[in-house]
Amino acid sequence: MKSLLHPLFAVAVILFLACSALIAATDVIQTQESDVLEGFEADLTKLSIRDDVLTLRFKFRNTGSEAKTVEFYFKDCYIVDASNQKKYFPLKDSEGQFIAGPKEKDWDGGRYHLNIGSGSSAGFWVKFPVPTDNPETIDITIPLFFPFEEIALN
Amino acid sequence: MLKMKLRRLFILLGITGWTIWLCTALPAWAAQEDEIVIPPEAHLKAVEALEALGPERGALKLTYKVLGIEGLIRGVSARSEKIQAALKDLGAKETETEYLIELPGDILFDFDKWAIREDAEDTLSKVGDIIQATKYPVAITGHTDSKGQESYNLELSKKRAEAVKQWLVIRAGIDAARIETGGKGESEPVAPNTNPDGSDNPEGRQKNRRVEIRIQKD
Repeated sequence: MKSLLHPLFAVAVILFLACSALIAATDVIQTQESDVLEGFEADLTKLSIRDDVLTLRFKFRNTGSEAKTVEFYFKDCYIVDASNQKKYFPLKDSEGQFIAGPKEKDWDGGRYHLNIGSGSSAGFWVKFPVPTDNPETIDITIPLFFPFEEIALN
Repeated sequence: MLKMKLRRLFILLGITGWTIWLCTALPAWAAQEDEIVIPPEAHLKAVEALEALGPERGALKLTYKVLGIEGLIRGVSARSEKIQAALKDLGAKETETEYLIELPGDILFDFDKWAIREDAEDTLSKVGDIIQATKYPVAITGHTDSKGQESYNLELSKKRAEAVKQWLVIRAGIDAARIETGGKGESEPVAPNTNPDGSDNPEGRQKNRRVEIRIQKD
């Protein structure tokens, strides 16, 4: 007990916790480069499932030297259950708008449009149905970026 | 002693508190820059949308057949462009039934030889591409000018036609059974070998030294 109270032990614990917290905060599930925008990368930062709704969060990072605009339509996002050969699109609300954001325009179910400066980043979220066959992994396609492949659903 | 223990306990409590704050604040700080705010109603809308989709949840069955056909069409289209370019480069004449390509003998062979010149390969590769794009018979006919003995020229024209066939079979992978060869020697000139005054006509003879390739269209 006495050794547990040693200040050095306490400092070690603090450092461990602080590092763990920092790692947890910056962890990403998978990163893909853009096949269109030079210097852009997309991080899949979070995947969550509730009530058979799959929510995906991304972070678009501009590692290039100049600001560029990320623009795409939500209708062009999809996930693929490769093991069962099925494809799913984002969920749509009763007004025909895809449940995703941030949304700049309502056109065609919603459009993402953000100018991201050099060294800056911006987020994106989208909701899909959980595939019916409960596959272990899915592939995710977001326009402008190479596909995120074999993303574990568990 | 008790005072020392209390002080240590106090320090430890302080450090623990600071650690808890750090653990909660750091992730928030790190995520602050790109914080994504999902509206609270989004989940409810998603659940409603999911119910509306029914048991299949809007799944589309992937059909590689369609993708395959698209790929095939693109492939054919790209190949078609390549063939059209080759036909144009070779100055091919097209009729309803065939393509006629006339290759100057001086490009394909050295004087009095029937071995294919190295720098003729690009031309023959284009011929090979065109033949590959079809599946019908091909006729290759050699022609010479009138210089030299007629029988010799006939033999030379046959050998040259056969040399072109061999190149196409070996280098371009054309089925040998599709190609017939023949030689006409000097019997079918396309230009006068001599001028009206009986003098030599080098330009005319050059035109006559040729290999004709007829590729049936259907």
